[in-house]
Amino acid sequence: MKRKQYIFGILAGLYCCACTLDIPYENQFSDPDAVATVEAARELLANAYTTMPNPEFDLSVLADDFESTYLISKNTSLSYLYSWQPSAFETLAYTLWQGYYAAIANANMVLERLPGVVCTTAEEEVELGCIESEAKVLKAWCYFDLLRLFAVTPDEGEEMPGIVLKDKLEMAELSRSSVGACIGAIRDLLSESLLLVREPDEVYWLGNLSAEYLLAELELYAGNYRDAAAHAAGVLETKGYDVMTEDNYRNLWSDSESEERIFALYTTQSFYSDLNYDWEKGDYLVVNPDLVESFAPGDLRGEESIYWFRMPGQVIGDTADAANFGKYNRMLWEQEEVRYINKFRVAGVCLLLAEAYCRDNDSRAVDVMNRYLAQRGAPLLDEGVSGEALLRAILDEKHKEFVGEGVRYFDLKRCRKEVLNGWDKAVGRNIANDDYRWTFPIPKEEYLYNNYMEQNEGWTKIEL
Amino acid sequence: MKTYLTIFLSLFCLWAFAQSNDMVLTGTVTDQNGQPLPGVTVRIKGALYGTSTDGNGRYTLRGYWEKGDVVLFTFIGMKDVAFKYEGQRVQDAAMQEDSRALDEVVVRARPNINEIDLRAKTGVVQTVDVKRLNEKPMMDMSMALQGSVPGLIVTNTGDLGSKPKIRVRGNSSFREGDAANEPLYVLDGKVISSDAFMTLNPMDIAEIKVLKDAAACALYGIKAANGVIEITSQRGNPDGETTVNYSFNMGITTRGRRGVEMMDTDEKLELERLLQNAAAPGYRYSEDYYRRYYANDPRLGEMIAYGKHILDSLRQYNTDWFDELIRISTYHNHNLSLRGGTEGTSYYLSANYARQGGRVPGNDVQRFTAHLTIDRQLDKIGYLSLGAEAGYAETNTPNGSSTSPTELIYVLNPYETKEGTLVSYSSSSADYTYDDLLSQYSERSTDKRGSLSGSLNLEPVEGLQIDAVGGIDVVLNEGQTFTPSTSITERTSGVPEEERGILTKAKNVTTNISSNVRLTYSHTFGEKHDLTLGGNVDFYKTDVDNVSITGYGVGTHNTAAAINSSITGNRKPQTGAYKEKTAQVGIGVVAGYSYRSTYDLFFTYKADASSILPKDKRWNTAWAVGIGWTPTRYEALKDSRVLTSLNLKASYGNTASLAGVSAGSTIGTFSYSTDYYGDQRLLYMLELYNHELKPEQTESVDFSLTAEFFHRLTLDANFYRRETSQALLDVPIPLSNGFTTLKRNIGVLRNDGVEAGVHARLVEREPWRFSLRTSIAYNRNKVVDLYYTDRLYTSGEAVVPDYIVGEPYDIVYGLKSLGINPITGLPVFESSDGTEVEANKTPTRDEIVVLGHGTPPYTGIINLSAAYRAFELDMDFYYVFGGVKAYDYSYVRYADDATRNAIKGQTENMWFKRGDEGKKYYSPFYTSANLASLDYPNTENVGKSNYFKMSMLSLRYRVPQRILEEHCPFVRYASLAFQASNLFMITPYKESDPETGSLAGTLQPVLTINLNLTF
Repeated sequence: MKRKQYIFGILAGLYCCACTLDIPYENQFSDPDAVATVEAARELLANAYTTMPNPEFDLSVLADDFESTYLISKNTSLSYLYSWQPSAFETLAYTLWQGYYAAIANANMVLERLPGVVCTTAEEEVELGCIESEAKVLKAWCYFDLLRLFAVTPDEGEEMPGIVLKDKLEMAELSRSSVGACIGAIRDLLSESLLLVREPDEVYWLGNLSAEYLLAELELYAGNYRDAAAHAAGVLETKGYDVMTEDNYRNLWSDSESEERIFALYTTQSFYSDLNYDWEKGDYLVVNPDLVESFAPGDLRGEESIYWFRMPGQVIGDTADAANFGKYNRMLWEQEEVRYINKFRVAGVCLLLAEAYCRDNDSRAVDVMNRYLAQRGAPLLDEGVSGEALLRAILDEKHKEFVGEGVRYFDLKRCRKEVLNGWDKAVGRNIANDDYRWTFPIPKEEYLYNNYMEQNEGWTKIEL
Repeated sequence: MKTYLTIFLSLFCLWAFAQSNDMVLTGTVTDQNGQPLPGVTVRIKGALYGTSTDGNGRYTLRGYWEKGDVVLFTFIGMKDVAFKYEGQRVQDAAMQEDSRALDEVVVRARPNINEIDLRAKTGVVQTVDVKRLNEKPMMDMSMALQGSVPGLIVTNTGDLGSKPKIRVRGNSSFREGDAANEPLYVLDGKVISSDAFMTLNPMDIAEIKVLKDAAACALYGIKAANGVIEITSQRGNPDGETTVNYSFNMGITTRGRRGVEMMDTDEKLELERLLQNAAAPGYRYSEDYYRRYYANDPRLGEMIAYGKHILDSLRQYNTDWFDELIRISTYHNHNLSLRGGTEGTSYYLSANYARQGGRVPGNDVQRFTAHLTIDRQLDKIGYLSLGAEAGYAETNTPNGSSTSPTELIYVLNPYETKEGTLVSYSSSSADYTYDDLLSQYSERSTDKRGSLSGSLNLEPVEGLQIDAVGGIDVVLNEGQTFTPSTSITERTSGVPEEERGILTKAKNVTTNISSNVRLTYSHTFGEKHDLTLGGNVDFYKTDVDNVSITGYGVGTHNTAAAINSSITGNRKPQTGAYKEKTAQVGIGVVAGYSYRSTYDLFFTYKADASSILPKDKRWNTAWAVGIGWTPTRYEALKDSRVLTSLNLKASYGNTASLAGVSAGSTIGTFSYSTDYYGDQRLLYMLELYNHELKPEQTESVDFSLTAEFFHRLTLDANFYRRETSQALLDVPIPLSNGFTTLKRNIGVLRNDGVEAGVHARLVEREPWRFSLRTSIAYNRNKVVDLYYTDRLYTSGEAVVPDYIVGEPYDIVYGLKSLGINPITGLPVFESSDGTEVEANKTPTRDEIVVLGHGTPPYTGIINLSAAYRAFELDMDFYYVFGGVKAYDYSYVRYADDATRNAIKGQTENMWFKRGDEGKKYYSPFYTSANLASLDYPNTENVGKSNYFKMSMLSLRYRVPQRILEEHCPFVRYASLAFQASNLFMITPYKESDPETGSLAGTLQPVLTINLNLTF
């Protein structure tokens, strides 16, 4: 009998330890407790920043920032992009559409989880507010870039299809909202976040100034020049012209701090490495010679934008001076690691403000420009210049300031029918103002699985 | 006093003797040749006492027994002989040698807890012939199972040591891969991983059962949605005999199928001349070349003569690289086992070492295993069993994902030799030698395995059976891959010298803990109603702990210690870690009823909960019902001499399964990445979750029939249909969701099929025996429904759909070839409206046609066994048909790769100039990059993957007992055999292997001599 008891004891023991099924993973956290602290919410938001695409290089290739060297024949996909081949647009459209929507999904993920975050101190409450507004700014920024790439400009029709506004993380098949509705949605997101923010301590977090910067750019895009000027002036009030010192300017392309930065993405990945063929032969593309010529001696922008290189020719022994692109590309040539990708900077605000004033026939435009140009060591504008001549001058200076940073493409698209008409002739591209390629194609990975998706005019839509 | 006492004691003894020894049985035991057999155990079945025969084969058994008791004659290596005691005084016996030798030992404990006889009455449980398994000289347990049971499909996937694909009745999910389709492996009641199964020693296995239908599998619950393979270990010998067995196989492995015949020197040089690539000597030194580039040179004649001299010197060589690269290697296998026991305790102990060399240098596998089981009787109420195992397995291979020495057979030219630089591997930047090519990559993987299990089988009151098993199985897998800095890929990678050389090292510990308790109550009442009721609770826990490093700059040192940690950027050292602990609890009930053993009813219900799933989706159920009918139990049929047995079964079952689904698929799940953004660690969502995710519902119906005629011929037939609805798949979703795929319930798929077998014992007249077993299995699968669409493309790039409603899901889609256009020299394809489409046009979706099944639907075996006196012959054949496989075609050379060897006959079959009609290969002057349609298979470049192979041959000679006694009396049993596996393959497939479809992998023939001794 004793033995029997003993055996049943073993049996019972075996099952006493059989056991709970709530086994946590070492590195996996599931809802609803996964994002319950401010710290976790910040970490989740940080991931949204890293998913942001960096289209600087590709958009500069499409614009008139660069000219090709003989090496470009060795890189088919780059030469296709440079010559505006539709297939290159399809590839780029996929990367950007996917990247921006991934960042939007990440921002939605954060926003949806914030109500579940428990704050214990007032400091945490503030931090939580920051996280919320940052997520909104990030989302608005993605919408804005998508809208500028994948939809027609507002002057071509506010009722035209814009982009998909994705408010929730969950899977959905959504149709495109109109351009006007998209602008409205972006404005709302940015305005909402303005109420909450505190300026971040690090330049790689979005803050009040970034939101204002984006609002200025948005209003300029939408044609509300007075609002644009008001927002730009607001940013400039905080930052001032004096931060645009030589040191601060040169530090923009280094891992040092620069007060000129309003916002820069932090990166540990390689950036701008697609320009280089190899360290002996040189780069596929060099800076547009017209632009090279336009820099006056002593213009800091010329010094930073061009990295002179003795390029071997195709015939042995033959060499020529090549105006290699500077900035990030110089950092690569000099084996410096890129830490900050400058997204919003003070010079941009000046140029936005000047353009808004100019378009609004406000005479302060020249003053703004000259204060900016003086800081760069560039020749000043004639006080009497106005109208289209001034507008052209502002956009030319903007081109010089932002060469290789992808800004020019947006300006070309926005102003191609007016002030920047004829840009393509200068670089021998022949892209008509009404060319269908100005709006990027909706990638097939979107429309194949979304029954409500319209393709942009001129692009093919494969039917299943 | 002393005298009295002595007398009294003597009288008492006499009395006692008379009391207990009132029965005496004598006789002589002989072998099949009439020779007396000493040492045979003679006892009354169920009694404790016995005796054994003397040197003349005579015995005298004393004791007390009754009429109707069974007298049992047992001898190792001989079949048991039993007689009913009807009052006879003399009982002679003639014993037959037993081919099953050691497997005949009675296993008293029931080591496999779920092994309830009940389910076999209505479910499909098929047993693997373990004896045949052991006759195959093959290292890999899984591959050896190929053809053992109809419907169990084992497919080789690569070189020696790679894990084969095992499926029971096809894939039950749209999701490919092992996680969602692999059967469950159960060793002595405890769950083991498929990797652990691969390292088992077949000699330690007493029995393998394959459970196919719902009624058989339902006891294992949702884990068993893809079938179960139950393995029972060898146990000790409760008869008290201690035997030692040593078995040894030694032999060679041969080169195997050649597949593609490559060019000889003459043809290759001629091809090179036609391809007009000056990098190839056949053109560079040809008259054509000199006439073209030096037409007006005064020394033209001299040059031509020089060129001819060079070409003639190349013609001296005619290297057959198949013979040079594919080697003949060795196979050996040693197995030592000890088995014994007393009335209360029995044990089995074994050790095994095996090693096999692969087809190419650097590829080999070896394995060491040890196994111990102890069974102990606990009073009269049951048994306690303990088992312990240890194993070590090692696989080395030089075949990586991008390089494979085997493929060099198709690259190296017949005029090249192992010395000097190679034309086929010279480039502007570097020259390579044969030795360089052989050290491109190496991979070494080891498994160290330890396992412990204990079980209790008790019957505290009559009819109530309590079984419990608990076990732990730990596998430590270590892998190291190495790409030296001198390899071609590294030398051409463009990275600086100090960053070349890649090394990865990974350690992975998988721990499986299982426990299972079952209560079964059986009762017979009214002498015709058999009722069984049962319930069980089981618990499984798996812990996977992985850590890995990848480092660069190791140069030529195959060690992690040489990793260059100063590298930054893309080649910085990387670490990876992964830990997953999951558990599953199940609770089930079972009920069975049998009326006069003629009608059987069976019901089982099991609910399982898994820790992987969120709380609201955690519990899933599996249930099954089965009926059985044995008409031959009727009085009218009972004594039929023709139809000696007939049994019909039917079952229906339903399993809800979330196999292969992790928490992240149904609920927001986050993980930390190793990257940072500024000063913040990154928390990211693993995948987009789907709150509406439902379990896959697998419904299966099975009918089976077993009929036996004349006690000689057995027919088996099974019909099944298994339909999975709410089938899960990661499908593409609109990109604007921020994720590319989502796990969704997308449709319904169905597998149905027939498995039929015949076993005929054709001759059973001493000394002849001959039997034949043949079976065929047919599996048909179909996409029954897709919820959101009628054809599914899993990527935006795909022109070829992955699944189409109404079509099988393993279809190879491609283009319809119309041959080569004699004018352009390019392939032409047929469009949907019957017109011709040129090759440089990107194919559209409606030009795609069905080319055939990727998985062959028909598989089958033919097994023959014959015996004559001491000789025994076994042969196994395995065949598959009905499938297609695309050819590699990389051995067809175009102008750009003229420096590499080409398939024999290419010169004749290639289009070279306008007007070449009826050619097979398109113009060599085009690069395939411009021919978009060649990215897809077409009717021209797929072949039937049918094959018929001899998977096993064994010819055994059993040394007669008489000889052993005379010459080596300490050996109780001995046999000598020639054993071979994969001897030949007949196939219409033109490349090396229709099974793997790769140029590199084919199973090598193994030829061995086996010696088996029992002491």
